[in-house]
Amino acid sequence: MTKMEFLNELRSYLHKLPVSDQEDILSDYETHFEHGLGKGKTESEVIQSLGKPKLIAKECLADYYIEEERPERPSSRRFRSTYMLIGLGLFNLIFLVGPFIACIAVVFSFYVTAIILCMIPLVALASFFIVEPIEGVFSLFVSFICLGIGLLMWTGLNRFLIVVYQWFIRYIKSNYKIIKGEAR
Amino acid sequence: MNVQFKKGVLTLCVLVLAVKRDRYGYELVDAISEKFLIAEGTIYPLLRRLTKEGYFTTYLVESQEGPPRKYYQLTDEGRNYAQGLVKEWKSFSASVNQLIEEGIEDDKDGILE
Repeated sequence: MTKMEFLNELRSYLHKLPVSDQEDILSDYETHFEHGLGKGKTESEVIQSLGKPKLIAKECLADYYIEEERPERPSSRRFRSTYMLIGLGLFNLIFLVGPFIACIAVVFSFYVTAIILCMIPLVALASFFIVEPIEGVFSLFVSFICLGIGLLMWTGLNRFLIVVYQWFIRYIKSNYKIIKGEAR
Repeated sequence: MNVQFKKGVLTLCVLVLAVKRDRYGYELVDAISEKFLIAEGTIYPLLRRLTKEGYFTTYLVESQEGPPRKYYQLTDEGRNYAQGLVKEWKSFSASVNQLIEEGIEDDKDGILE
């Protein structure tokens, strides 16, 4: 291998680097050759002791990548956190919005049921005075049972709603943490 | 020898050589390859890295008898770094030496002689 071949091979390995860096590196080796030849060494002796161009290029590129990684990190993180946000959003939209709406609907319908059950005594009372008193007594008793069930349902639903609300808040917080954790 | 280890030692050598006076590239390569066998070409990337990390500054000096010389001058940071590395090296090599001494003492068959 001659000096020119050595330098050309080295250059070919360095094509990923900015041109100014390539020139810098190559000029170091050109000068090295000149020094070596000036000391009476032959080109092949200098090449022999320099080592393989590939090895040298590997060193140069390794340093370059270490250096490049630093500014690149924040943007790639930002990208990842955006990605997370979209991913989580889609996941929530597809898998959780449906059940969430269903849950709300069920709770709402139970509330409506409870309110109706509580209002039955009023209807029974009206029928007691307006329609037949004897049948009305029976329906009045039944309506009180309905009132009891309605009130129990109401308080039960309130407790259930508190628990659901807490789950909901916790889930939102965990989502937030995942996104923010990625963005840090 | 372990590559990482050799790199660390090479860094130390380059820094230490530049403590007394500024050195140019070929001079550093020469001084080191006189002492032990390395791929000389790997010293230049090392010098570039140390310069980029702020341990060296460089300047060119035209030379009458040969090519221009790129001199490497230690910065204050470089001096501190060299100091730290030398200290580390000393305690490390002392430990290794101690282990070797102990090995020789226990060596009844004279393998390590």
